[in-house]
Amino acid sequence: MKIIISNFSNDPIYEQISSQIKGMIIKGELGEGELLPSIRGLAKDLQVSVITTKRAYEELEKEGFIETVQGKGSFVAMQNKELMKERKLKIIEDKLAEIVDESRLLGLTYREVEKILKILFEEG
Amino acid sequence: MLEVNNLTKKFEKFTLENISFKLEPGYIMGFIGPNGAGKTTTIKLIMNLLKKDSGEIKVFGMDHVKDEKEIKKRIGFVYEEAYYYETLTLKQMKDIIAPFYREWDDKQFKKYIVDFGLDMDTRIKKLSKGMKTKFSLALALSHKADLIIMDEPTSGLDPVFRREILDILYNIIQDEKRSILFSTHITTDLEKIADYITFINKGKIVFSKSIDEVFDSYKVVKGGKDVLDWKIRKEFIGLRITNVGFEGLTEDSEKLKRILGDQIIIERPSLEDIMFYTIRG
Amino acid sequence: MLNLIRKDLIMALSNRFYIISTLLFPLLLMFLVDFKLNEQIIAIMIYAMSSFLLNLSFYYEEKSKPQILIQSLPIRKREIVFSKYLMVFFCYLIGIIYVGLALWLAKFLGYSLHANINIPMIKITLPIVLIHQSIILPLSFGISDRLANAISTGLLVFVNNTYLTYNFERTSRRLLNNSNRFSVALIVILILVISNIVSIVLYENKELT
Repeated sequence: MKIIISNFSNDPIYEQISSQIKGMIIKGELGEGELLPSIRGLAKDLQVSVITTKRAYEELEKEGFIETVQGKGSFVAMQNKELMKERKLKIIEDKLAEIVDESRLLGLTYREVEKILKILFEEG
Repeated sequence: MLEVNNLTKKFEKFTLENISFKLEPGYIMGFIGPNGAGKTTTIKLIMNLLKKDSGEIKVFGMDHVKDEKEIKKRIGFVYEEAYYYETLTLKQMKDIIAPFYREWDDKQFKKYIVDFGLDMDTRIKKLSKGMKTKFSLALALSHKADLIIMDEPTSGLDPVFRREILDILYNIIQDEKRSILFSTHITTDLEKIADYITFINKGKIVFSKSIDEVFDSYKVVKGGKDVLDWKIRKEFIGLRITNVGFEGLTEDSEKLKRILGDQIIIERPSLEDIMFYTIRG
Repeated sequence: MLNLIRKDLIMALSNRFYIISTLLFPLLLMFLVDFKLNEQIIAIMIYAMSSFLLNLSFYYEEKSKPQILIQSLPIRKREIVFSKYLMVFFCYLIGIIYVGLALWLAKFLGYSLHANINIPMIKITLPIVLIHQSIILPLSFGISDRLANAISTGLLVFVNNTYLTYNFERTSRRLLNNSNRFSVALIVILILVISNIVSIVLYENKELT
């Protein structure tokens, strides 16, 4: 599991942690039911306060991504498949919106962009 | 675990007034403030080295004077200066101190001594400050103390060792039943590790909050001098104006963002910024 | 409390110079009077030895700094005070034993002694030592060790010169008088207890800035 935080970013640290874990769950890198590090262990590894990791986990639990069992730890919650798909699509949509904006600025047509997209899909 | 309520102590030239804060088990509290703010005095009062004028101090739920002996059995302390008998060796000093603690763990102590690279046969007066601090740390951590009180333990130490101490503290705090009170004016040490911050200045508590709350509320705002009218200035706790602009600390960055929008930059402050601007005004 | 006594012992034993000079003192004294020992000299030796031995454990607590360490340990101030009073008896015992050994050595070497350590000797020296320390200890707990140490030395000289040298007859008569013995014991115990209480009160109110 990889979590990297930046002390210099303006994003609060707990947000950096929760969004990275969120991303991993959405991408499937963290499977359903998988055990997450303890808040204290994570705090020690990241060298941040326990309060910060606690808050990150609390945010994730509020949004339904993880579940905390008293005495056992925090697990990736059973994900609603529809919701997951929606979330994944949203991420792609946002990225595509960026590409569309850039293309317009550069004066590229839809056809030209489609060509690039095809090549990239075939490559991977 | 540690509860201070309305602690007051008057000296000739200085008064510690209405100090209140709480430390729960399992957390590290950073106790920050400039030199002379009252950090050491507060710690001495907790340890009953000074008598309080009024207020209440409870450690492990017990009164800090009435149950002094019971409490101190579970406290490990590291002070800024090592108050040892200089002519004794480390071994002799340990032989004096260890028997006072029922839960003394000699194996643990020996391990720290080896890790820290100390030679038990050296005379204390021959040790550098860093070595003395390491020795204090070894003593403080070797009797299963539940509360570790440290008064400026890292001043005078090189950055490498300061990091090592932080690692040791992180390890201790993995046990949710232990707490650490860490007073320092070197705030960079605390930024990483502290869960709660109590800021004291001129004998009064400025704030005592969780680290998230601290960084949520305080923000550094930078911008051009032209935006500084009387109304805007009021929003700042402390302000620094230069030839090329201003920089200041505010508690209400949202408001400033609404008013000034793109004309300012809002950044996360360091604890040092918070201390600096609060003191400076 | 035993821990405190152990602390005092470790402290005392670590200062070799002072220990050696303390141990040499009676021998030196014997030498100086050409081994013509009488009761006065022996009394002086015991009295002085006890005081020096007790001061050994004080000697290093010069500034209040090591006090900060000791008071941060799980120990109550009254225990610290009480242990010092116990040390008085302990040092007296060592004093007596040591002087006894020195006398025995002198006898062994062939010198004839006009006096010895016996119960009357104890009856004379013990009250003096106890009263001396009853005066000095509150000073050291309430004000400072250094001052107390200085006054202790002064008191030692004073008492030696007045009661133990010139007025020895009267002193020993008063202390050895059988009909007096209960009142003497009572007075000494009373002084000791009051001194103990005073020391505790002074010490508990002393601020360690």
